[in-house]
Amino acid sequence: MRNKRDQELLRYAFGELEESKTEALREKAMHDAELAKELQTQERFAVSLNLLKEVPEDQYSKERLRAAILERCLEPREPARAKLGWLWMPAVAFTLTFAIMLLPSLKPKAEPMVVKDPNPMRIQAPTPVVLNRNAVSRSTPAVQIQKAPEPSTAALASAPVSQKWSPKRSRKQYATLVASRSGERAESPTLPVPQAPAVKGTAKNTKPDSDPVLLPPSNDEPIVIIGTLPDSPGRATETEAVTGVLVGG
Amino acid sequence: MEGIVSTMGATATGRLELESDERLVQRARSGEYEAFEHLFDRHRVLVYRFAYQMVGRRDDAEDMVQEAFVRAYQNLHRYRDEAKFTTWLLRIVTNLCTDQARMSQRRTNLEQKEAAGALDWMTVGMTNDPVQNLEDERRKAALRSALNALPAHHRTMIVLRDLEEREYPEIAKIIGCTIGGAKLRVLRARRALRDRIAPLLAQ
Repeated sequence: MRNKRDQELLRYAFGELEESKTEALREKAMHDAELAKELQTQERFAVSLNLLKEVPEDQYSKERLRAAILERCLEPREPARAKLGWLWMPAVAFTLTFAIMLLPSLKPKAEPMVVKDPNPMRIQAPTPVVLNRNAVSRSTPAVQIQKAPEPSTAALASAPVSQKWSPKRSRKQYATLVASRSGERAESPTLPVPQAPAVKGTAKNTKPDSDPVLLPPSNDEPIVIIGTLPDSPGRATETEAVTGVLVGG
Repeated sequence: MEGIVSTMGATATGRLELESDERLVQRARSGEYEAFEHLFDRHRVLVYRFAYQMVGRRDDAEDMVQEAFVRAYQNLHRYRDEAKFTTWLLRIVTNLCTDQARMSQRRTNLEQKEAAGALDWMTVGMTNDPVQNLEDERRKAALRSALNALPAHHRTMIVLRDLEEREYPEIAKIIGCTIGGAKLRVLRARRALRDRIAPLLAQ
């Protein structure tokens, strides 16, 4: 309360109090001697400050300022935004670092080296047994033709294998297929053959360019090759297990 | 310095006199030193008065004027047109005076002792001088001492508002506060000064 009153008195003394409040304060001071004395003190304070408004003449000259500026060799500084040029430096440094780190992975990979396998699969594989050397092309040594016994040959020739090996079909499935076909042929050797010529002998009439079936090269499941005995036609014997056998009719 | 031109023609002077502070600042920024000298001529008294009220000595005040204008010249690029050039200039001087007050704490303590002695003399009335002028001079010296003994932030408010008669919005801009805040600070400063010279006022 006292603080507010003191504030009001100071504002009155410096002429910053509202007109209505000033009038009210004066009215009140007319009946209150203590308040009147206090107002007088405040007014004296405000007036005494006017004594300080007088300032002696300065003797500072333009030449002195110029000398001071020259002494410091000053020029107006560049705008602040021009000085912010350093801000792009970290960005550039970061980009460069990133580029240097990324560069090895962006380089084109070296040409693949062709290394000759000293032990190729062809050498490792056992020598394929060609049942009918005349009918089999020798251009692909890894692919051999299996010739069925005589009764089967006709059927095989008449019904060429149309199903080639596909990666989706497993070796076991293929073996089952071959076995089933062999069984069919064995069961019905006199199956009517519409287009196949009569086959006599063994593989002489076998079409060499009929669709061969190329078994996938694999060492997991060897194919058992059955060959005919040269001295006893019509009989077969197991020769050996090979891989990469071309079966054709 | 290339920008400094030693002689100015009368035509050029007249042209510069008509130009606003902002235009002169632009010219000074572009290296036209005449424009800056013209700004100095225009506002030198304002800066000097403020500096004198703050430091209480003419030579100190002149040093303050020099420092203020040198800093203004150095930082012309920082001046924005939304504030008046005088406001910006007074802000520089205010900061300079505040810095100086902080650095010379010892000197301030000495001023306080001097002020106390002067007030003692005023209240006890050891010298009975009939000449009113001399009395006024003494009162003024006592007041000056009391003012100089005030903390710098109080002194700044008294000088800006009561001695240089700046409006509250401008004071707020110079100090960097709201108008209400400026009023409150002025009130506190007045109260502090009044309490210091209470014996003198009671006479």
